Amino acid sequence: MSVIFILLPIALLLGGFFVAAFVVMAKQGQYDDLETPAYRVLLEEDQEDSLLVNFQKNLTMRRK
Amino acid sequence: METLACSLPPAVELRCCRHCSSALPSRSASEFCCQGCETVFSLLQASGLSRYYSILERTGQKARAVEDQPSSSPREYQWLDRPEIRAEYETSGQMFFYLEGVHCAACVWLVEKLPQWVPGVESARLDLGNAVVSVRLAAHGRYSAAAEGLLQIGYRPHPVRAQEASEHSRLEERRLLTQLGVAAGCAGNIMLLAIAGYAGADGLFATSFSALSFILSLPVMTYSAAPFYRSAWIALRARQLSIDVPVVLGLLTSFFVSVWNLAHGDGRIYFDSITALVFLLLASRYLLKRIQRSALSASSLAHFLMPAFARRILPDGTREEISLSALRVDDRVEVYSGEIFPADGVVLEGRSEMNLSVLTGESVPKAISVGSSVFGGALNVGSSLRVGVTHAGNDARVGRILESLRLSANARARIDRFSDRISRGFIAATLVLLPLVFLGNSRSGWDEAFQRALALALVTCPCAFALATPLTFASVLAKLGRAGILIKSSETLERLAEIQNVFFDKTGTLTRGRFEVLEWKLLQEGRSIEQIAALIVALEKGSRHPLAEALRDFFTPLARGASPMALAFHRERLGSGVEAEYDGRKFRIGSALQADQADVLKSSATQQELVTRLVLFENEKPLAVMSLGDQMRPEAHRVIQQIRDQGLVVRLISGDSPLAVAHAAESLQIPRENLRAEVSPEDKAEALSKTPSSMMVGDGVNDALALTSASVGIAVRGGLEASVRASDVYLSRRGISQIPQLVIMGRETLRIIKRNFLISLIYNLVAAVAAVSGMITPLLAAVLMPMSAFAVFTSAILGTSRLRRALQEVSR
Repeated sequence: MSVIFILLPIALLLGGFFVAAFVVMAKQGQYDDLETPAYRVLLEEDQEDSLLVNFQKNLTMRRK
Repeated sequence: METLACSLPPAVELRCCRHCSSALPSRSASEFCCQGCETVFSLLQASGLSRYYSILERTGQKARAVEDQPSSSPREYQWLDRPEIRAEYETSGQMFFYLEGVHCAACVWLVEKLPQWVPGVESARLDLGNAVVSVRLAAHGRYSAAAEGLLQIGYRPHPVRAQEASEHSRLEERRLLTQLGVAAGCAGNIMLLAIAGYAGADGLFATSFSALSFILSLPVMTYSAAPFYRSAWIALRARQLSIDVPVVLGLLTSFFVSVWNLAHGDGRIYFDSITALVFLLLASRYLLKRIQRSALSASSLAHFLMPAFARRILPDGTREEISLSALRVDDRVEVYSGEIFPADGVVLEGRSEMNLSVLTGESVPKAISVGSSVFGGALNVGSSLRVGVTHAGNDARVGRILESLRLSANARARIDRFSDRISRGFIAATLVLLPLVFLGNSRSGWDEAFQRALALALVTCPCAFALATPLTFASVLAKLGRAGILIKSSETLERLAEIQNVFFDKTGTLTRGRFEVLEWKLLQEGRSIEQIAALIVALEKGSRHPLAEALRDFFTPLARGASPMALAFHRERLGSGVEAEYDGRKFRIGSALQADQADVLKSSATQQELVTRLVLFENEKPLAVMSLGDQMRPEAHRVIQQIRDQGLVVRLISGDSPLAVAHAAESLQIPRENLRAEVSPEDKAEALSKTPSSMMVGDGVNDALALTSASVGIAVRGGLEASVRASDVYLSRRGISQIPQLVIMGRETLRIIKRNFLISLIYNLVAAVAAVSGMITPLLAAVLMPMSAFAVFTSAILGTSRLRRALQEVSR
């Protein structure tokens, strides 16, 4: 059971890392607007389309 | 119903506006419901932004009808480019605009495409929840161009001052979120360690786990719980008891008891419970904070009411454009037709008419000539004038109103919150019980008595209640938000529950606030309706007179199909209408002087004085007669009756003439003693502040003071949406139909809070009994706490059946 004394600090460090990451993101303001990004992701199709087109282009080029 | 009809397949014979998909009247030849929709539609097509409609379709949304035509005045936003304004409004290279009417994914897409078609705009980011867009300019870009671009696509922008863009509250929200994150991380880990303890870990494990949980609880107690310490301290310093005082008391006692017990090898430690509690309390407060929308403050109203500049006449006769702050008493200014007076003054030259509706609510323009007083903020609807300034800036009447608005908005008395009254009870109970428990248990040894007394202090912490109150508010506010009602703060909800008097303004609130053609009739055969309509539109073209605008709005759709008419010798005669020549004949629109012309229309006798009749003459022979008036909103009767059914007193307070007020009151069955007519904005405010627990429903600036002195002020959506956002309650729907439900919702919210209080009281009683009999253990505390939290959480989310019914009614 003494493995716990190795695992526990690791687990706590890991947890501490995530809390620290969360704090940094909160300070950067990534959680300021929780509503709009959900819509925005639906809209950036212009780029997605072009990505898809590029991908298909690459694919056909490779086949050749 | 319109929505339903227009989502049917196109095979069904029903035509919808191509922009907003609202059903069109069957006889209309147009593909659009209004001029505004048509303008926006063609603009989007021309700019290659027609994907807007496919996004709308895909997300199942509809565009909002534009209704108000985008104003054609190109100078409306020019003042944004002045350096002093830029300095005032710009933060870190961007300017924030509150946008009217943004509501869905397609709006986000359209607004953020702004850089694509307005040159000089680098980026536009929309925050949909707050309806605020941040605009960043490229080099040489102009904010006025960006604002006009937004206006053109149907979203009227209102610049938001930097301080107001709530930089402060945004930072505070971020800090709260960080505190919440830290509390969550620590509480979660402590709980894992505690479960090991409950499962029977002992020896080295028990001591090391306890020590670890102590270390982990330190950031929670010092950093995360800081907001509670601060607000408890503020309350204590003001010799008040807020709910945070007993919460902090409970938190600190249990923390120090745990530390003491840890140091003495006693197993009674409560780190898991207190950290979980801090987490839950922070979470519920964060939720409430997110949901309370930041309102615009009244101070930014001045820019919308006043013109951007004044045209000063120099002694040598030349004119220069100066900013309003440079305007001094005794300056001479020129005010063109259709412009807003920059300051209070006296007419020196010229004759015109002045529309005072912004200031007083009177809808009929007043004739002015040399020697008459004019007021800043009023509109010059006639011809150009020269005015000598008598009061400028904050000394002007509108400046004084705005200034006292700013002051009174800050000075509104805080209400005695229900939760604060409860906390007094809790503290009192604890203070009485503690010594009793201590003495009562002294037989089993001082140490045990001390432990039990402290355990009691721990459990009498009204935590479940402190948790439930913000949760209830957050839940109700979120539901209201979805129904299109935004409420500034939870305090407003509490105030709503105590309303006894409801004051209504007349013009613009109970009525639509503008002239409309009520009925019209052709007096001669021989000409088609289209021709007559086209003639009237051509005659009234370009006039800023409210009657002319009403005629244009009414006859423009009817004139479709007729070719536009080129008139000769067109002129507007002050006070007696317009005239022009067409096809060799003289046409004139003027008031109906002879009774026989007016009698053609079947208006009832009481209405006669309140209706304006106009006649279209052809060579001085009457051709058509029209009656115009300010119509009562269709829902007014129902709303007044519903409010009365709730046991509230309905009162009418208006700046309009006694006759008009009496007439409105008669049709709404409001008794004579509840009426007040010809009341100035200042007197309205005084009347409201003299009547406790009163609600004011009004519109425009003339009611703004009264809105802030009432315990709840509700602004009805009219012309100036920014003023609506500055009030306590924001109704997304035009008109007053949602008001009766608001009071119900306030009352029901208070009922839920009382129910939550009952739940937490039961929990505290059980816990107190356990504490007194020495049964309180860390395990029992850890079980009771989430149970009570869950109970109040469910109660808060479910609400009451009456609340749900009221919500259904408002969202219908």
